[in-house]
Amino acid sequence: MKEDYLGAAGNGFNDWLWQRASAVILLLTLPFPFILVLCLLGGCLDQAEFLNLVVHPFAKAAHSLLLFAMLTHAYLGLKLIMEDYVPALALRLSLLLATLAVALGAGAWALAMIWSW
Amino acid sequence: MTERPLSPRLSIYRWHAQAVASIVHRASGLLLVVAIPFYLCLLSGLTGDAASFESTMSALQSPLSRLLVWLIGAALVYHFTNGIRFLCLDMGLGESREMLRMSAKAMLAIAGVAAVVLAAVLL
Repeated sequence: MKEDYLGAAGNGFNDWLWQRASAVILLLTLPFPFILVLCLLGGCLDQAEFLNLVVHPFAKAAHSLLLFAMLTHAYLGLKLIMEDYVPALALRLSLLLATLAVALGAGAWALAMIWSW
Repeated sequence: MTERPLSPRLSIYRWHAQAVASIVHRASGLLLVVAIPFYLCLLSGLTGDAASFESTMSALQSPLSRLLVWLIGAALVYHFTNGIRFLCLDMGLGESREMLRMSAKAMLAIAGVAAVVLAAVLL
């Protein structure tokens, strides 16, 4: 039986795949908030128009997906950087767990906010 | 820890476009992590009551915020376009040495142009 929880090519592949899957979701969703912020800064959108756009159920669902992908992508990217530049195991695992806790907390807080609108 | 030299050995390797594209992807990604709390604060402020919307918008217009938006915008354009390049490479597109070199330079150039355009708009 393949012991993929040990192997460099086993569970590492999961990270690789999730990093790509979340990248594709971000590729499709991230342009919208980017454009909205530019419109707000440019003054071509007031708060009522802005709220109308973000409170639509489709927008909420897409926004939730975007936040999930964003936090997953950020966590995996930070994990990769830590694995490359933090050789001390105890420090690396502590940083990794702290990052995961912050990402989960931020995700829960953001989802609660979006679905309270 | 042992005294082995760690890879990558930056003093030995010659810098080339592909390596620059790769390390800038990592650096811009790290910068974009900072953009997440910024984005969440912005979202919270802009969807609050009218007073909270106004104060968030005026905070967004401050020089420091504009600088931050410029940095995040430039990093986002680079990470976004070079991310598409990486996805293409994963699918086996553009893997020849010439294409790798050319596409790396193209992504850096696009981000450079975007940084100049964003600076003209924001700063």
